[in-house]
Amino acid sequence: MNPHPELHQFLAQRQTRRTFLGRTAQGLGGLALASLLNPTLLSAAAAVARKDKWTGVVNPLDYPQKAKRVIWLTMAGGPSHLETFDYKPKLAKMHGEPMPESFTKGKQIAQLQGAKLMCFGPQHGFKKFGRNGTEICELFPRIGSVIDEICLIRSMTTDAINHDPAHMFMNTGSQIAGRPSMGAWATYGLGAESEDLPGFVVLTSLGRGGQNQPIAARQWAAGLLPSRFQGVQLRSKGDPVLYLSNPAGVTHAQQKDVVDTINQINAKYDTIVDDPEIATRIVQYEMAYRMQTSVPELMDIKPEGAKTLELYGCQPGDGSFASNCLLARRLAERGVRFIQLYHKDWDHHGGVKEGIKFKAEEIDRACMALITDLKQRGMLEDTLIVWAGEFGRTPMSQGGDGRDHHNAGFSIWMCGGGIKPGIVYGGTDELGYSAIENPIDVHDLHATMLRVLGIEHTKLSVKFQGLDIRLTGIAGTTIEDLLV
Amino acid sequence: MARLFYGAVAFLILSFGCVAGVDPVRTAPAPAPSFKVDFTREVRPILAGHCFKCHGQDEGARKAKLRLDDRNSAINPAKSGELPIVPGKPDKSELVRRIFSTDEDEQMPPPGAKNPLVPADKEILKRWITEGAEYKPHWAFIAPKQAPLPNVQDKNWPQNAIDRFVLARLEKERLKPSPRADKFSLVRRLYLDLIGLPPTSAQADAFVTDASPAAYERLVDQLLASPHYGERWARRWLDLARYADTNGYEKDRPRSLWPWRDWVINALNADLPFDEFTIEQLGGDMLPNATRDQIVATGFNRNTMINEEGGIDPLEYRFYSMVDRVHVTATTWLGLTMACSQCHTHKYDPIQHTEYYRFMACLDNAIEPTYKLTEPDVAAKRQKIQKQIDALETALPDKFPMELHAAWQIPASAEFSSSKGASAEFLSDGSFRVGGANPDTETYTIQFELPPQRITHVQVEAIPDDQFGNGGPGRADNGNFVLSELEMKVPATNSVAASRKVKFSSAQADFAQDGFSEKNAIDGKLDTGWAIQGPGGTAKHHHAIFTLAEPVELKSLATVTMRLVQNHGQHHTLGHFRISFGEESAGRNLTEQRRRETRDQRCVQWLADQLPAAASWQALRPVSATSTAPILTVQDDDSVFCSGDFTKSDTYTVKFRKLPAGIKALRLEMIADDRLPGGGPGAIYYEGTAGNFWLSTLKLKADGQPVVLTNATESFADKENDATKALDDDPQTGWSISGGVGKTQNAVFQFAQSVTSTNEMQLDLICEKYYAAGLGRFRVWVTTNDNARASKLGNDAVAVLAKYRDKEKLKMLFVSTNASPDRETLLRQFALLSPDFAGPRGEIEKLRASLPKFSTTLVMQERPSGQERKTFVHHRGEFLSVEEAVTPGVPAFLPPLPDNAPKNRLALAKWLVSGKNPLTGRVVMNRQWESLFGRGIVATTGDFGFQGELPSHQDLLDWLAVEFVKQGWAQKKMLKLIVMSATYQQSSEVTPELRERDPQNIFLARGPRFRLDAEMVRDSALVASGLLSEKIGGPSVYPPQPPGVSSEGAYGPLEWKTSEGPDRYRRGLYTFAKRTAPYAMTATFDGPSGEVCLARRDRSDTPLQALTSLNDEVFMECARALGRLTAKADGDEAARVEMMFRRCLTRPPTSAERAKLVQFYQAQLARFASGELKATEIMAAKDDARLNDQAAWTTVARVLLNLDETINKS
Repeated sequence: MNPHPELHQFLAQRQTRRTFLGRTAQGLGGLALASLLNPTLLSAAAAVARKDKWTGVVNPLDYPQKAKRVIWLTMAGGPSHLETFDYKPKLAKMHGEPMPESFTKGKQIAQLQGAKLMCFGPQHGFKKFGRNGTEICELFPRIGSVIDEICLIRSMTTDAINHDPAHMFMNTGSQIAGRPSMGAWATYGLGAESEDLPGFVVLTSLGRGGQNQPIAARQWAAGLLPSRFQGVQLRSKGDPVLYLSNPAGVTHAQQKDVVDTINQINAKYDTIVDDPEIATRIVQYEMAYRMQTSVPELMDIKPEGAKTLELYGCQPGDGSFASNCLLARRLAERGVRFIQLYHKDWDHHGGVKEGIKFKAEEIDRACMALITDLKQRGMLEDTLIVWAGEFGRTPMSQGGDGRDHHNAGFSIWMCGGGIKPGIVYGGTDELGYSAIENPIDVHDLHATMLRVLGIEHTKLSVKFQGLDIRLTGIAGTTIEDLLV
Repeated sequence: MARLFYGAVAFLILSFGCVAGVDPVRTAPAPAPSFKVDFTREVRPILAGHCFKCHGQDEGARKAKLRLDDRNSAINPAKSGELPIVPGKPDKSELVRRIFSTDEDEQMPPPGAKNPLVPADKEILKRWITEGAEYKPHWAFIAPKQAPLPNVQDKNWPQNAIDRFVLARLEKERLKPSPRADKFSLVRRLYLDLIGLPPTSAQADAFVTDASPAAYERLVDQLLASPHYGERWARRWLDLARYADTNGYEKDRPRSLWPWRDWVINALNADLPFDEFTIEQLGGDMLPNATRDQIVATGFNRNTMINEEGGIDPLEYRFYSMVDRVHVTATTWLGLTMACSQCHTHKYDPIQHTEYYRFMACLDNAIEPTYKLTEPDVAAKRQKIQKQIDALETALPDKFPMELHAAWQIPASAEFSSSKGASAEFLSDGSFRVGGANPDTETYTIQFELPPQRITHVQVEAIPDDQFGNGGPGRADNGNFVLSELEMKVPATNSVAASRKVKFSSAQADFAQDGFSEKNAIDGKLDTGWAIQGPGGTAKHHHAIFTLAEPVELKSLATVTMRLVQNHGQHHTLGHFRISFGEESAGRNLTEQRRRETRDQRCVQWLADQLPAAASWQALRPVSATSTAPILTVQDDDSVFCSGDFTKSDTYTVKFRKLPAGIKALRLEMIADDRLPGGGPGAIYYEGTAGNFWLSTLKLKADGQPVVLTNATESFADKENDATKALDDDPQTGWSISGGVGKTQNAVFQFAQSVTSTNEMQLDLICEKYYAAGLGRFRVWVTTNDNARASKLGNDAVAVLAKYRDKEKLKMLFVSTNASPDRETLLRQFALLSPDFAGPRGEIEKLRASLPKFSTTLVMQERPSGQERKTFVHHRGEFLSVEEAVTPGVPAFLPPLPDNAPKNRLALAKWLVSGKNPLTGRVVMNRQWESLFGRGIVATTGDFGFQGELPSHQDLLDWLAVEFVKQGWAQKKMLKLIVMSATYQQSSEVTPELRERDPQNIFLARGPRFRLDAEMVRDSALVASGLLSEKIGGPSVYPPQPPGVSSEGAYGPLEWKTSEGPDRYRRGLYTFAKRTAPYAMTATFDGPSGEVCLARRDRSDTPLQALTSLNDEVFMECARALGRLTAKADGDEAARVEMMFRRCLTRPPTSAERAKLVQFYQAQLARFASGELKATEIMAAKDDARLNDQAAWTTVARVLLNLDETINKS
């Protein structure tokens, strides 16, 4: 039994409070109105409780922390690596020919049951960018313009081949719902830095011309961890946080009255029953009240000015991926630990050619802007950006103009905090089917991400149903080659 | 880290929370030397945590052939020849040498182990060996015994056995119990604990003012008998069962399992003994003559999620469901963490990898149907409607519609008057445009002077007009009208009366709004009528023709009076209309005769078109029916019923013998069946239309030779997916019927050559799709006739038609005047299918659509004998890594399944509650204890294994477990026992000293205090505001929540149709539970998502919770209701504050609290009065003299509903 440092931290706080409240409460005795309304008592209790800020269980860190925070750009639906970052001239040559069985035999398929598997060449041209002449699809010139900041991985693999389990796997390391997602792990491990905002924030945006795959709240659930570590979704429509607005007719001033009165009565009650939970509740009501101002302020990107809005290519209130990228930067500035953006509609079973054009218009400028903006603010070096879908797409056609789900090889990229810039890592075979050079799987990705955050992935675990649950399951290797 | 979780997490949530994680039981100062080291409490946890991983029972992982979990292995030479443990001689024990060694090559656990031994642990191991290295079996795996009640010094305090155990421990710890809680706290605690709702003030007073010593027990009995008891305790069970109203995963579509939820409520209310409660839920369907309720009960293990995403492998997700069922069953009844053994032998608990799959095998042999409840009231309603349908169908052939051939006369002059002042202009086209006064209701009376004529019909035309709303013909805002009643008077034929009323026999309009049929205008009822609001609005010309029961003959110029009664209200009166009088060309009798003749002609023609279907078919009885996955059962009627597992590619093989000679075609009849999804005939249950199928390929062999099939026809196909697609070589195409599910369909396949002298014929049907698209029920027929084709005709009609073979014979049949059953059969078929009858069939279709549906629920059903499913060991728990098959069984460290019964689901259920199982009683009693005290006697409610916490009061838990069985597994009795204890009745107030000493209240020197569960938080607010609906059971409901929660980002976004009326205010357990988007308030307050079995809920405290109870519409509605109540109440402000306060907190306020709230009320009232705040907005109401007062009280209510004490039990 090895009591952790944070236990001592809490014990120390408790001692302080015990001395303070213990004496005060005894001194006050009964239920004098004076003490009921004693603001000193209240604010003192709250001040002590505010130190309750979660400092994380990984303390000290296992490794030097290269990235303090993560911005994860999730491209939901499964982007085609063959129309984005992985150029396959051989596939273009074999367009329309049967896919050689040697590539596909015994492999999982999702929707191509009984279909004749035909090669389907890249639908767009590729161009070389950056110092190393990295080839990427010509539809993404702005990402190309910052390719020297990016670490492109062309050998990603995943276990799952359908959307829901694949997202679950990418987020939690397990295909079945119920495990904590990575944002929850990171907040649990490292703690929060923000006083007024949650440690794990999620933003979603809708694209055009796709299947609009679902993104359910449990993708950012805390799973086995306490619910305080779950991702809080900031919505683009309605209240950014559920119940953030006052009820109709209630003004800010009246809300303050209500909260103050609740807290005063609770504080007095605390002196009788001496339940530390009451002090926490007082603090949480204060925090809730502060969030009612701080969150709308955060969400209002107008003050960013025309130049910044132009850089990202967004308008206030448009709910676009670009807006969310800008919000991600603002959240990063405010100390949010893990920011996850979901951009939907990459599920191109049909019409992949046109579909990718839409996607490029939606994300190309925004991704460049986020990298550029963070860099000019000196934040790129301690912010890890990850761009990834839940899987890739088949080199074979589906229905003549689309591609099916594919998990044997696809592309993702990382950028910033502790990751080597300007490199291309790994590769797929000549038809883009399987990752054959330096394949990495989801557990490896997680291990590597935790590593730059300063955490050894094998040491971060919780117990559930008798198992030591880890983000990386019983697998995962940190890919040292990706680290600075 | 691992150790940190259970404690530290709880405590971090508590923020100030104390030394949780440092379990005082284990960190108590080292025992005085006079006590021996305790193996269970001190040694075993060290060995388990540091050594068993490599030196435990898992043979695969074992190093150096050394087991430290087994004394025999530990005291005998290891692989190296060394003696690991020499009892009594630490110096000779290799184990001691190794754990104290500083040599990295020798050190144990090896350097770099993530969990090194601390010096204190090493000392304990050394002392244990010195003292003889005794092993003791794990406490929870030995059957519990009732120890004699311990002696205690304080003889007065204990109320029952529980208190003796608790007090003995307290006295040992030199602690004193707290005084009994005050009566307000007690009554609140009992209500919340036993029925999950706080008491009203009257209920509280009834107890508080009752001085009788028996008052407390009376209250306990009363609450245990309350129907709300079942609701409160069902919620606990639903957490374990992972109940939800949707399937989970990507699509997360709704499903119906609430009848199982209601079963739980009812079973708990009836105090169904826990053994029966268990047996019925796990194996109710297998009980002899299982009742409906016992079958419904098996829904417990149907609460697993169902992945409906297209590309998945359904059997892979079935495997995950089985894994889930094993975990849930083990956690719920055994408190065991079997999850570990899915992939490998359990590292700590004595569960082998194979045993895990043997346990799975007990549960594995079931199919998973949807069960129809056939509720008697629904059945009665259906029967009534079905009778109407049958009568209408019988009468249908007589309703062949004939076009009306009539000469219409538009009168040239008319006199208009109205009952309430409307006036009308008579236009040159003979129509009326109404103007002037526009009262809510009106009756127009129009007198026409008509020349001599014969009248058989009256026509009313409604004419769209820009002068009226939406350009409609009516004067209502939307241009609509309602013609309540049309009346007609003509001169009397006799001289006595001046005029007589004419009766109408029928009405037919070109359009009528739903519920506003033209027939309503002649039904004699003033509250029904004809109206014309349609999908495109009202601005369309419509007419209704009313047929006179008897024609009217006007012999000379006569006055005809029409009355148009328009009683609907809100100006639903005609604005622009015309009335004309018609004479049908021929006489009535002539009409009927002409109708019959025309019908028969059409019928013969129609039947002639069907003649190709008129083959003589012979049904074939299969001699065998097998498939790649589904279970095929040959039914008495020769059809094949398919059930069980379906995959993305299944082949159904049916063989026949003794075939007629000269077969020319085969008919595949796909038979609708209520047992199938969507009523069949296919078996699709996800991704596609329920009840559809996808027949990719049909192959036929006669005596081993392929039969060439040339042509296929079908009764129905969706778009291009016709039956010929089953004959092409493309497996991606197939026959499918998504628009025709729920009905029997058929396809006919013609042979290139007739097949003669066949001994055996084999039919292979292949269903292949990216989702499981199998067949549900089918029958095979053959014919020797040429050119047979499929048709929509019923089998009986086909048989009759086959007798008549050609058009001339059919003509003869219809010319004949003799009664003929054949003619009846064919006519009926004609009426049911021909487009000619589309109009008259409308009523039947409406009735059919109005048939109320039976509720359904998901159940388990054991597979038929001979079709048992094999269960296999899966290497590393992976679906695809199948190893050897296993038979049903249970882990060897527990008592075996009895030998005298088949080893199956039912046997497992009975075994769990046999009374011999050491775990079940303890686990259940511990959970009850945890529900009441906030912490179990074993804190790890879901883990009683080696890794679980040790019990704080094992003797007490064992006593309760044994008593539970003695009391016939009666849960209410046991609950009563606990709440009657002095332990339970203690005050929850705590002294700083006691908090310091026992922050988690492990020793139970005080009563419990903790935040209510999510549902109780909301239910309490509903009770306080008087809004709660007390209705029990039924489909789940949709209380208000912010827009988008259930639909934003969801695949099949669930439109959250917020319930109105009482359903808005039902208890939280009835709120529709969508797994991927749980009800926002519940999720915020740590409610479950229903995805995994939850043995214990977190209790967090977050700002989001504060935002919810401050701003959520539900809480706002409660605050308003409470505000209004208070504004209406008697008494001064202080009295009203007291009333509100007690509705929320039960106890009366202190004078300071009262004063504070009065002052707050006055301050708020002043703000409303000054206009700073708008009462109309806060109250969401129109202005009213008392609104400011209500709004001020509503604001006070918001404070009260948010108080810590309101959402806590103490």
